[in-house]
Amino acid sequence: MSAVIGAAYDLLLCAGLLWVALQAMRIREAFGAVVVFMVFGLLMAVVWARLGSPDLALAEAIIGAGVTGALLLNACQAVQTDPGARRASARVEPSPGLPHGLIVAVCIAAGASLAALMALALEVPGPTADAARAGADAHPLGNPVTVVLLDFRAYDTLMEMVVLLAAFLGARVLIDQSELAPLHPPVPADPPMVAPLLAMATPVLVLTSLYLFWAGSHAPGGAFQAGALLGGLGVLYRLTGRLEPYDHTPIWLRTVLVVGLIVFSGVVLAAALWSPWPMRYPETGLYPLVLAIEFALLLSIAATLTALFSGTAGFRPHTGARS
Amino acid sequence: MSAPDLIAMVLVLAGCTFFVAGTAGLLRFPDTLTRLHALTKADNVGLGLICFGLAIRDGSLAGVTMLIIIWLLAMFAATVSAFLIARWHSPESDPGDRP
Amino acid sequence: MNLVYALTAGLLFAIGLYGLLARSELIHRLLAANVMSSAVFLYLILIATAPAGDPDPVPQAMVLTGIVIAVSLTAFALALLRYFQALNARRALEDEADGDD
Repeated sequence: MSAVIGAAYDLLLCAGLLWVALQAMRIREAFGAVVVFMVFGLLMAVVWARLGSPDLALAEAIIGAGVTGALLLNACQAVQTDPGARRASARVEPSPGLPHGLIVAVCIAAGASLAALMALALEVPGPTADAARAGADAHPLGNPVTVVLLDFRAYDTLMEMVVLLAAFLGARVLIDQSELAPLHPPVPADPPMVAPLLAMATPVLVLTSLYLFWAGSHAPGGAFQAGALLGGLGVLYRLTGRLEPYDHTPIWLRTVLVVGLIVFSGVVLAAALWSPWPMRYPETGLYPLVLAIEFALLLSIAATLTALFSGTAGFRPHTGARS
Repeated sequence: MSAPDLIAMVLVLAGCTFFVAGTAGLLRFPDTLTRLHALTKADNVGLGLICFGLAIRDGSLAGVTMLIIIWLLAMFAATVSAFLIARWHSPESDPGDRP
Repeated sequence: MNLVYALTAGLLFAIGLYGLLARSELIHRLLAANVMSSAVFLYLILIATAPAGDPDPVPQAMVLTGIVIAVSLTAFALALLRYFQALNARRALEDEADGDD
């Protein structure tokens, strides 16, 4: 009985996922497509949970649906407010010489063959053996995903932070070059309900973020989910004018942006003191080191995502009276 | 099937009915305010019933507390967003407030 | 169960491909690329999942990394899109000014 219900649930979930993805491609208006895409992200989070990966479900819900959605909505607003952007909308010529019918035919053929191949290839044993899982089980950190991220494949995570920082630096250069006015300029006064929203959201989000960070070592969660959640709070503060756009990157912000990389690479280099290999934790003291790295990563991720959302070189706390 | 399980199932199904009704309202009602009306009422009661049903099944103090917190937070977020949408939409509001 | 999700991953990739080819707006193409990457992540997890059990932690960590990289790239692409719009707007203004002479 429960197997039938489970199968029906899977079918319904997959059908919904495909339907929402197709709508996100088909809706003409950018705003509508973005909203549907955010629903797609939430459904993906349900899929991850269903496939037994709560870490990915958390990350997808916070990053895939939340932060990506906020960034995309930002871009929709930019089309409304940037001077001349409405006329010179960002489009390229449709793929040259391809009639719509041919594109549909190609995509149906590609979808059918890919789906068939993927279903057949499921029988082939996966690329990874059980070695990683066995190693993770014996590891002092209880969450196997965190073990892989911060120990077995820590280089990947280090480089991931570099990519995140590079994305911000690249975006900063482009925004500087385009000389556009910042989105979401400070508002003179709060609309009603915003102050109570923040009064309630701030402690809840900070607490949840710290919990995810703390739990990440032994249960689902970790620096990325926690940092993105805190970044979401930053987005909220930026939208309500608590953080105002600033055309410089203040020193404190620079520090927070790179603190994750500095602490992480510091540990990599310091490993030379106790091991012939870089990026090897000492026999004792692994736990505090991982916590220190994760906390620094959390701060950097939150600051970088807020800065990327801000679409300016930096931001600073709003000073001055607010009614 | 035990009595608590049965009660939980009935509550969850009742909650789902509210979600279906709310979704129908969202799709069929003509304008923003009536759609908000359908959505917020249905979602708050629907989510409440589902959380209630799950709480009966779960039974542990931690689980029940978490479900109550989930319900309260979702209601709070729904209230604020519905309020902001309605305010942005209503013609009487001061246009200077519009984002 | 995994069979359903594997078929979904294949179709999802094709839907993204359709968006990439059929739409001319850059923001829609960005959405399409994101849908395609989701399809790849989904399949990566599927082939690493034993018939009964949780997915292998290594691909899970890789997909987690992938999700963060995807949001970084989306953010950068959106900055690029705004830059492109501003450039187009400026060029359109210059063209108009030339036309008046």
